[in-house]
Amino acid sequence: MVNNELFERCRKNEGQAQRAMYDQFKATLMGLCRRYARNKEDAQDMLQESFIKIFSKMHQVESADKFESWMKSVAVRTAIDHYHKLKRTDHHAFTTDEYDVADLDYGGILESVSDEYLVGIINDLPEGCRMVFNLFEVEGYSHTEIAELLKVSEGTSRSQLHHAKYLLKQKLSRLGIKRYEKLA
Amino acid sequence: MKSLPEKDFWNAIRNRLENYKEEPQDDWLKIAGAIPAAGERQGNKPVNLAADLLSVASVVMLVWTLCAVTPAARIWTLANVSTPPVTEKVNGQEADRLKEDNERELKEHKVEQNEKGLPPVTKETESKGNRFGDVLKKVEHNDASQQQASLPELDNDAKTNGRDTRSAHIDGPEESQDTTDSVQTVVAAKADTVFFAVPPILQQKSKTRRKFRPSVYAVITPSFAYQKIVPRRDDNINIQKLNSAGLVSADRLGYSLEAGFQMQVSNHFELYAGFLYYQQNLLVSYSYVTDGDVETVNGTREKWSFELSPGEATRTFRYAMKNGGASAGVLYHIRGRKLMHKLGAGLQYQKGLVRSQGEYSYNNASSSYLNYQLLYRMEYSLSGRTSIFLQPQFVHSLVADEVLREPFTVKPYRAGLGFGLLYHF
Repeated sequence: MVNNELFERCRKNEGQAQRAMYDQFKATLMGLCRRYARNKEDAQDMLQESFIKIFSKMHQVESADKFESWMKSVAVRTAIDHYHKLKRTDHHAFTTDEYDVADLDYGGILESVSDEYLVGIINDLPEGCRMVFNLFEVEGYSHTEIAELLKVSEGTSRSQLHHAKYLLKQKLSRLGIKRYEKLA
Repeated sequence: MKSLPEKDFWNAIRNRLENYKEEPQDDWLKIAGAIPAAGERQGNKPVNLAADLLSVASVVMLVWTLCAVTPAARIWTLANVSTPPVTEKVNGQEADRLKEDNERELKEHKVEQNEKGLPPVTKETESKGNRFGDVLKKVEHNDASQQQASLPELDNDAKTNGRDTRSAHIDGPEESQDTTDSVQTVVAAKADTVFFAVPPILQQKSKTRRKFRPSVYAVITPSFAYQKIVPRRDDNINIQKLNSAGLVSADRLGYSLEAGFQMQVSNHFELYAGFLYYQQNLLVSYSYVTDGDVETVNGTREKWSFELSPGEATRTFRYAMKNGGASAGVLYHIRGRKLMHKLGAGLQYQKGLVRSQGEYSYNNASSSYLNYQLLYRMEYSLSGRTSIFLQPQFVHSLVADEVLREPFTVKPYRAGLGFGLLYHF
């Protein structure tokens, strides 16, 4: 939650207040950027750009209680901008065979992996899959909205999500198999 | 737990990703440098207003110039003539230009006459129609000594009358329309003085032309770039030292290319307007204080003493500017004919063209600059139509609406020496 006074001081472009605001939210926004970026360096770039936009356009936010969600949406938009700039040529070839994951202990696997590792798996997804997965599963956008944001068809958005989930399961399954092998 | 249901599995992932936090590198310095100051966000108005005015002035100037040189404008000028012929004294440069103008006009006029189906020029009509025919004959029969002896008298006569003068006839048609289509020129003993007995049409036209004589110019100006650096006050970054290139250093070199129109509007004043491109590649490095180490020296539970050991870091900023824009101003003719000395002042509006994506790269695609320009021009006439000029100039930023990813703002200025070419219509 953003302090009202801090919010107002930031709107007045006070350097100290902006620094305090940055310190308060840098880890949250870095976490968000890490999910969308391919690596830590790209995430750092996104974060920097997001904060510049946030402090430059803060006058658009009406009140302090809306600030945090607005700030996150700015970071998501920045990630989408990066996607449009960087991606373009990344067309991943989908495999059609389904991976049998029914019998694996996903609960156990999920409990055993750290957040960093989970983010690392997300980072390894192809650009389009990663974007759609984040937008749909984490941010809660609909396929129609995603199609508009990423300038793809709804069908593409659905298939990207499906493929993203498949790849995630596959990676987690392999992790589970390795774990079993280790235990055995 | 054997396996999570699909929905719960994805919900678990969502929750973990949604709440994922990671401590980034502290990039506050770069962020603070790139945030526009409070005044800058609304401070574009003077730049925009000046840019608008400059653009309007440039467009008016261009339209005016084009109108002055189009046939329609000339016909309009010619149609409004009724004044009697007057002989005018002009200098050598003007004379060359007028002579070329007259020759060309006469040729054009002849073509027009042919197109209108008027009778062709014959020797008879020439002798009848040419008011100066007798004078020409006299000239042909006069010997050189007579010419020399009567020169002073002829000078005076020529100034007042234009008939009883020694004439060198410029070739061209003399038609049956009285005196309005013939030109009589006297070349006097003084090499740089020519007397024209100008018929009314061409006389009026030449007046118009001299008054609104347009020219096109092109100039390249190598220059040394400098800048006034103003640290931001609200970013808590303490700049210790600035290290920039020497006063006259190759690192400061830049250049501008400019081309446009200029036009004489009175005896002493000319207006100019054109488009320009400017480029520079300047390195500025600066040292600033970093957080450094904080060491606890001694203390008790109630009172602690700390020793601060601030560090120092150096950063290099490449001020590689590429701008495009427009300029307009006025030139004042101080003195000289063949070699003219002029003083000038004007405004330049420039827009940044550098659009780089790199984190540390300079990017001025959204920047704009309003500069004033002071210049001194030495213009040497090569012929009636072309001149070259040397132009020391100073350009200083009035308003620089520039967003840098640095903890300071910059007001650029530069001094240069231009080499230019003029073509007079």
